[in-house]
Amino acid sequence: MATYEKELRQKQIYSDSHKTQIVVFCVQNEEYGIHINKVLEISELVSIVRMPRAPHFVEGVINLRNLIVPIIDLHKRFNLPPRENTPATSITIIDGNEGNRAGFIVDEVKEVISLSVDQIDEKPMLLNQSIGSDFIAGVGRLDQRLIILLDIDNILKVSSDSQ
Amino acid sequence: MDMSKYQDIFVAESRENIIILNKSLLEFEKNPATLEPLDEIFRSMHSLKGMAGAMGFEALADFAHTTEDILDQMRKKAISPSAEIIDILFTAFDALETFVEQTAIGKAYDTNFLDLKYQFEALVSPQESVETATLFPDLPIAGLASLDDEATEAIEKIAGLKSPDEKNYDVTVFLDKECQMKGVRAFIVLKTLKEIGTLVQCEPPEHDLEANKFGYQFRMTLKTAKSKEEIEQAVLKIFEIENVRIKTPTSSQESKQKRGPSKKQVAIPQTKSVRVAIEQLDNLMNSVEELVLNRGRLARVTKSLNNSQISGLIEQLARLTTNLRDEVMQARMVPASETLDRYPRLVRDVSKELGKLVDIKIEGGDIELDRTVLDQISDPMVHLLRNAIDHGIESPDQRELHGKPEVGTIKIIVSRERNNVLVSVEDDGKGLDPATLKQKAAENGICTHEEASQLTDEEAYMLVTRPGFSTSSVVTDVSGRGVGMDVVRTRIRSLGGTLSIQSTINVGTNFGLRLPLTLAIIQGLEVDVYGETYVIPLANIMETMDIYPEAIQTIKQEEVTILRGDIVPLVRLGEVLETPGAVETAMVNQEGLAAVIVEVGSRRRGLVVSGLIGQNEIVVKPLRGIINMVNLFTGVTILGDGQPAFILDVASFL
Repeated sequence: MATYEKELRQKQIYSDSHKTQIVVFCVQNEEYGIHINKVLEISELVSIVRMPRAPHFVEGVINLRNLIVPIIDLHKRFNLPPRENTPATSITIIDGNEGNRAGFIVDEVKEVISLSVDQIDEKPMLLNQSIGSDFIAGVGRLDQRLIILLDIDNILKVSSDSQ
Repeated sequence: MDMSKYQDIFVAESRENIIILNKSLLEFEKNPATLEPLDEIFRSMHSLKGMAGAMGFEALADFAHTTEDILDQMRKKAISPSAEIIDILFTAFDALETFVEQTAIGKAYDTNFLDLKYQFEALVSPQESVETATLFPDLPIAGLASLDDEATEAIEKIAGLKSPDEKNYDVTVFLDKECQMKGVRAFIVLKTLKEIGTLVQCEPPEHDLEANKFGYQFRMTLKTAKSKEEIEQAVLKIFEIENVRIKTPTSSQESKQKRGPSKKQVAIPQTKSVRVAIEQLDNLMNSVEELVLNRGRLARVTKSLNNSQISGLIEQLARLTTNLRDEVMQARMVPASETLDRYPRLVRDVSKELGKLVDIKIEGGDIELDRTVLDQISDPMVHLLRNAIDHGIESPDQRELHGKPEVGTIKIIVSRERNNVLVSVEDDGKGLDPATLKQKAAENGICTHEEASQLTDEEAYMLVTRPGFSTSSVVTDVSGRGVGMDVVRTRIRSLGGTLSIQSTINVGTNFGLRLPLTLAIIQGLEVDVYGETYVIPLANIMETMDIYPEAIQTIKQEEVTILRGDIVPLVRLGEVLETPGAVETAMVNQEGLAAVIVEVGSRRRGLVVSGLIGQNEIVVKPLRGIINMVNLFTGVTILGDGQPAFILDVASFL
């Protein structure tokens, strides 16, 4: 699965310097991370306009300073139990390939951490995880914590089964 | 020197020249007695040659040169403009066009102009050329083209050396301040002067000129036997030369005489315009759109303040932004003739190929529409014209049988109607026969015989736009593959326009394209669908009406309403859009609904909504990324309150 090309890409995203900065957030009590360069901003849960006939995990769109951004519910994307909104629920606006902006609804944004190359396992053994391995780019280890590093371009891809 | 940055300008200018070439030659073909079209052709060919030379496209320049010779001979009536020559000239223009288009996409095109060149040279007999040579010493000599270049040069040199009247001239050239390719213009000037004499000295030096390292003037010493006037004429023929000052070192009196400007104004009209890349205009448009949006929101936010000073300022801001937006939109507008002018040539070629006699008339070419819209309808228009000639216009014999003039007529009429531009392509051919169309549609498996028999004439005409429909028993190169009209309809639809067909047997067919003036900003009706707001493009809306439960009837399980005697099928937007709460609300409260009657082509639907909010000018933003394949919508906009709202693709509800 982990082809040469994919490995290269992951290295570029997660290992391009000694220390890599990762934005860590929570979805259904698991910790996930996205490289800080891919995160445009973090916004509170603003009102989302529903989009009929969109893929089921697309909650709708928001107007982010005159830019229309589709919003993805990661609970739905990862086939997790339904989300419960709390004051900590936020939207992480990310910048995918080819200027594909999108927002991920997450339960809580925790912190920004630094990981060195040897703390990142690029070919993780399949964890006891309900989320698809396509969405995982690697796993970061910090003390006793495991942080799942996301492959955002695959998350933004619509395959026929996700409709 | 680096030519790549000039390439776009070369391509743009050459395209314009080629359009003029074709247009003028068509005029000339129609009426060979008038010489103005020939002059026009000559001018365009000349500037094309100059540009090609400057860009280093030797083959092109050389070929343009040969073509010029033929034209010159025709102008002087040394050769008569036979159908054969006109045909070759058209072929030549096509070859030029191919070259230019290949250059445009960055391909070095290996054009073989040689075949055409030989054809041309065969047309010009040597005696005539000699005659030309003596009459017009500074014009290219066709007959000599077959001579060895070196030999020619040698002869010219000897002639030059023997000439007793050679003088040194001090030539100062002033370039037009708006000149975009100074280096190239200077290069053309030098090249032109080198053709008529020997360049002794140049200030600034030649390589600085080519590298653009000079202001708007440069000075040369030219040794030639030509007169001052001849030099002046030669230089002023070049584009974007503001003035030229020539003096002979011996006489200082002449130097005080400034020549040229008045003359130049006649020869080369000064254009107060610049070329701007479409992309740049698009970016500008985007920024202006956001400005307009923010203005609206600012007005909304500050309304509650009741501060007269602020509202005054906002009013002023509103006026300014509206002006700004109109100006930017205007900058994107081009006259329809930019595309239409190419069609007479197409009609000529296609009708010739099919053995038909067709005249084309264009009305309203000065009406302007958005560059993008115009570019997008170019292909559909070509399909429509080909179809009109192939299927519409009958052969000359048949036309006579029906008592029609031998020559068929195709009319392209462009007109404005509020925020739409109407383009109609009308022929006076045999027309569409609804019965035949229904028959064919059933045979091609597009619908059953029973379905076909229920169609109205108008609906039957629209069958030709169905994929896989073809009435031609013979598949020709021109049409008959049953792909064209389908593409036409799809393209027009994607532009937010509509296509309509009207026809009368033996009288003719009319294809009507209704197009938006611009794509970026449209008029839309905001509607409420059980708490959600959507926008319906006004261009698709016929009318709106209140609808009461008792006005809704059911035919074959489908809801319809009667509008002035016509049956209009209803579409409940709440159901199609799966609006939360639509079902329960609908059950309890059937009152207060409204129907928006929309039309695409000849099909109507009543879109049932729970309320009409209002009509507004809206900015269309495309759907990008993960949501781009949702097919109910053409785009999304941002409402006055800052909330996004989707724009319905009306055609997907039919």
